[in-house]
Amino acid sequence: MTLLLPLGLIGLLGVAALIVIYVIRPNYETRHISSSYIWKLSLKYRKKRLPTNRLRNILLFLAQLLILLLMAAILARPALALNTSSDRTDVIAIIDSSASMSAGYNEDTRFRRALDEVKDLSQKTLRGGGYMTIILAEEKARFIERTAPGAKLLDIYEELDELAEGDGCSYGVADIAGAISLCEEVLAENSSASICLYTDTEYDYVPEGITVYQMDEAGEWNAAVLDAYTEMEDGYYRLTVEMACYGGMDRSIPLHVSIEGKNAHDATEEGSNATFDLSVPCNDDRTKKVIFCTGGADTEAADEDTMYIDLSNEERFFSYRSINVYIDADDSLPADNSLQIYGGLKEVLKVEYASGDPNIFFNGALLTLKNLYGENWDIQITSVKKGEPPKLEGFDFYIFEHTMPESLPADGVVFLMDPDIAPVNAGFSVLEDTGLMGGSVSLTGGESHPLLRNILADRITVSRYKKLALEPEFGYEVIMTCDGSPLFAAVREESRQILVMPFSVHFSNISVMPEFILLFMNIFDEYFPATVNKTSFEVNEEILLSGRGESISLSRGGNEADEVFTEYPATAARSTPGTYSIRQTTYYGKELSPIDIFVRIPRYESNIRRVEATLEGPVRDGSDALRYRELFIYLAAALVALLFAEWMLQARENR
Amino acid sequence: MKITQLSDAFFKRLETMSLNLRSRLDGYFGGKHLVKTYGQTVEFADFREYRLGDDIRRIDWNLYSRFEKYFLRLYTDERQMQVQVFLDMSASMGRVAPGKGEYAVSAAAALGFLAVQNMDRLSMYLMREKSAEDPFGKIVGKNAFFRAISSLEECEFDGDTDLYAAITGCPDTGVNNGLTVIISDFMTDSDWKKAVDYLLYKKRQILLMQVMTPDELDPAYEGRVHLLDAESLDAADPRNMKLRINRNMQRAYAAALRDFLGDIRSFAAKRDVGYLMLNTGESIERALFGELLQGGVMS
Repeated sequence: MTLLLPLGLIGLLGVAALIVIYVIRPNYETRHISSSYIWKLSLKYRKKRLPTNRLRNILLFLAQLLILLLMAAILARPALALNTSSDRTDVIAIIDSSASMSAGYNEDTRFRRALDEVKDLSQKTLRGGGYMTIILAEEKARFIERTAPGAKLLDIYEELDELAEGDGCSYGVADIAGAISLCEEVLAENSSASICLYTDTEYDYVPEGITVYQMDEAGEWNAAVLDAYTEMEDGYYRLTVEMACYGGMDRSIPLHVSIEGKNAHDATEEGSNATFDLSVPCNDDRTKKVIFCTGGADTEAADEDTMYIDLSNEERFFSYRSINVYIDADDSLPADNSLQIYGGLKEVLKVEYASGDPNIFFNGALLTLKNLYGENWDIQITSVKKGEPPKLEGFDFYIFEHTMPESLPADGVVFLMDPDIAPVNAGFSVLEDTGLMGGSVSLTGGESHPLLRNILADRITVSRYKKLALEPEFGYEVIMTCDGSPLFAAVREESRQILVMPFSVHFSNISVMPEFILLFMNIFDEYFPATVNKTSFEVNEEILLSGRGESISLSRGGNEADEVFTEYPATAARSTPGTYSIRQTTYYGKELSPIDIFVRIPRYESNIRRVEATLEGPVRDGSDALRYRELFIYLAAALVALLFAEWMLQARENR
Repeated sequence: MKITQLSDAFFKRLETMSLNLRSRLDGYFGGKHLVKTYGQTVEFADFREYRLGDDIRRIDWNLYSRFEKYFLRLYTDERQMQVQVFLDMSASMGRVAPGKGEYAVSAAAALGFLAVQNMDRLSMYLMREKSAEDPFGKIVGKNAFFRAISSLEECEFDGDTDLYAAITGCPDTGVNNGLTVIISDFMTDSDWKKAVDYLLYKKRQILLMQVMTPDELDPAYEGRVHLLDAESLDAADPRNMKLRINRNMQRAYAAALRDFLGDIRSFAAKRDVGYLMLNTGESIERALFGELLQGGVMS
C-alpha cells in the first residue's frame, strides 16, 4: 500500500489533541445544590449493574482514536499499487486506415502491407505467450482485438482478412490521437506494453515506447486534383483547379476539364458542353493552380505555380450543370484523380408582387433580396400591373398589398400587407380602420421570434392600421402588436404559410427603415432556406441540410435514397467519395430540382509523402488514477461504522 | 431578602380565612376559638342538674316547671390559642436557592397572619443549629406581626439545623394550647420525628410543611457532577458527592425521593399530624388556598 499524499499524516496531530483533551478536560462539573440528602438515599436504590463503565470508556476512547487515525489516513490517500508493469508481454498494433494508406498498385496497397505486418506480429507475439491488441485508426479509432491471448490467433487472422477483402481502408483521415488514447486503457493494465504504429506518415519525433513502421514503398507517387471551384466574375464564372503531384518526381500531368450544361438558363434547358485538355507540369510536391478565365492569356502569372487558361467569348460560361475535372495519371492513389463541381445552376424562386397601389418600397426590397441571395437563388420577380388580376398559382412567394384576392394561392408562402378584405380561408377578418389622432405609436414585439431577428419592434411606428380578428383554429402566431391589436401575425403549417401585416407602408416608418429589408431577409431565411450551403464536401465532413418539405432524401448517383431526413436542420456525413443527390418536394407538392454535391477525399490525404513533426504518445506515468486503486471508499465506510459505534457508546454512557 | 409574595392583596385574601384548630385544646381566656369546655359565652351548649354551690341565676325555670327539678343551662367557651411556627433556617433552605427560603418565610407569614387575625398568640421560632431562637416574643395583633415579618425578611439561611434539639429544647412549647407548625425541607439526619412525638406528648396540634424546589423534585442535570451540599463546611465534607448521573441514577433518585416523601406522609398520617408539601415552582397562593383549604387546616 502506498500513500499518495503523505502530508495528510499531519492529521495524526489530532490524536495528540484528543489525548490533551482527555487530560485537561474537567472530570466533574461542580454544582451547588441545597442538599445532597436525597442523592445519598438514591445510592441505595441504584440498580446493580456489571462494572462495564470502565470498559465502555476505554472503548469510547479507542473509537475516537480510530476515527482520528482513519481521518488522517483518508487525508493521506492510501492506495494499492496495481501491478501495471507485469511480466506479461503485451503488444499493441495501430493500423493507420487513412485514405493515403490505400495508395499502391493493384492489390499491393499500404493498408494491405500493414495488415500483413500485423498478422506476422500477432503470430510472433501470441505464439510467444503474449497478448495482442489491434486498433484500427479510421475516422474514429476502435479496437479490432483487445488483449487477445494465443487462442485467438485464428480470429485475428480472420478479422484482418475481412479488412483486406472489404472496405477496410477508409477514405478519410486516421484518428491516430484516438488510437493512442485507446492504448492508454491497455497500458493501465500493463505499462510495459509496446506500441507499433503502421502508417505512411513520417514523424520527426516519435516518443519512447512507440515503434513506427512506414508502409510506403519506393516508386509510389500520386497526382491529385486537390480542389476545384468556380467564382462569379463580371457575370461569368472563373474556374480554378488546384492540383499537385507527390512523389518527388517532376511530371507533366494531363488535365481534362469537361463542362456540362454550359450557359443553360435553367434546369430544364440542356445548354452546351465544353472540354479542355491540357498538360500541367507539376514538381517538388508543390500545389499547382490552373485558372480558367476570360482574358487569362493577358494576365501575368503571379507566381510560377499559377497557370492561366484564357477562355474565349464562346468558351466562357455564366452557368453550368456540372464540371468534371480529372487527371489522366497511372499513379498510386486514383481516388483523388477526379473531382466534380456542382451548383452552377441556381434554383429559381418565383415571387409575385400584386398591389392596389404599387410602390417602390416593395420593389426595392425585392431587388435587394435578389442581389443578397443571388448565390443560392435565381429570384424571379413578377410585378402585377395595377388593375390586372394577380395569378394565384405558379409562384413560391406571393405578396399582396392592399387589394386582396378573393381566395389565397395554395402553392406558396403568402404575405398579405394592409389587407382591405380578408380572403377566403385566410383565417382572419378585418375589423375597423384605426387612425391614431395623436401621431404614431410604436409596435410591441412579443417573445423573440425568428422573423424578428435583428429587428427592434419598438423602432417601427404606425399612424393608422386595421384591427384584425384572428381565428384561433388557424393557429396564427402574433409577432408584433399595437395596443393589443395584432399588427404582424404568421401561421406556418405544412399546407398554409401566411404572413399578415394590417397596415400600409404609407402609414408607417417601416418602409424607410432597414427593418423592412431585414424583415424580408428573415422571411426568406425561415421559409426559403438553402438546402445546402455548399456543394463540395470532404469525406466524413458534416453536411447541413435545411428543408422546405416533409422530407429530404440523400442518395448516391441517382440511386434510391439511402438516407431520408424529416427534421431540420439535419446533418449527414458520407464516408465514400462521389456524387450524391439531394431531393425534396415542398409542402405544396412541388418537386424541386435535385441538388448534386460531391464528396471527395481530404486534400490532406493526397500527400502520400507527408511528414509530421511529432507523434503524441500515450500517458504512461503521472496519472495515479491509472496505476493505483485508492482505498478511500473502504476507509470512508469504516469511518462511518466507527462514528456509529462511537455514537452508540456515547448514548449508553448517558443512559 | 425581599419577599415578593407578601403583598397587600395576599394578606387581604387571608383576612377571609381562619385556622381550624381542634376544639379539645385548652388555650387561654380571651380568644376566638370555640372549645369543648363550658364558659360564659351566649352560645348554648348543654343542660346539667343543679349541684350544691352552683349559681342559682343560671337555673332554667322553664325546665323546673316541667320536671320539678333544677337544671342549669351551660354555654360554650372561647379560648385564645398559642400558634408556634418553627422555621428551619439551615443553609439548605435558602443559601443555594433563595426562592426556597422566601417561600418558607411566606408560608410562615401566612400562617402567622391567620393566627393574629384570630386573636391568637403567635410565636416565630427560628431554628439554627441546636436551638430555636424567639427574636419576636409573643406576637399579638397585626402591628406586632408586621414588625416581626419585616425583621424576618432580614434573616439569613445558614449553617446546619438539628430539628430535634431545636424543638425539644424550646422552653415554651405549651401544653394542649395550640398549633405548632414546622417549616423545613426535612432533608436532615436529625431525628425530627422524635421532636414531633415530643410535641404530640405536649398535646399540641401539629402541621408539617415541607418546602421543596423543582430542582430537588426533578433534577435536570446529568453527566459527571460534583454535588456541593449547601450545608457542607468544605470540599472534603462527606455531604459533598461526586456522581455520574445517568438515567439509571436519575431513576434511583426518583425512587428515593418518592420513598422519602411517602415516609413523611405516612408518619404524619399515623400520628394524625397535618402535612403539606410545598413546591416552590408553584405559586404560594395556590399552595395555601388550595392545599391548606383542602386539608382542612384553613377554612
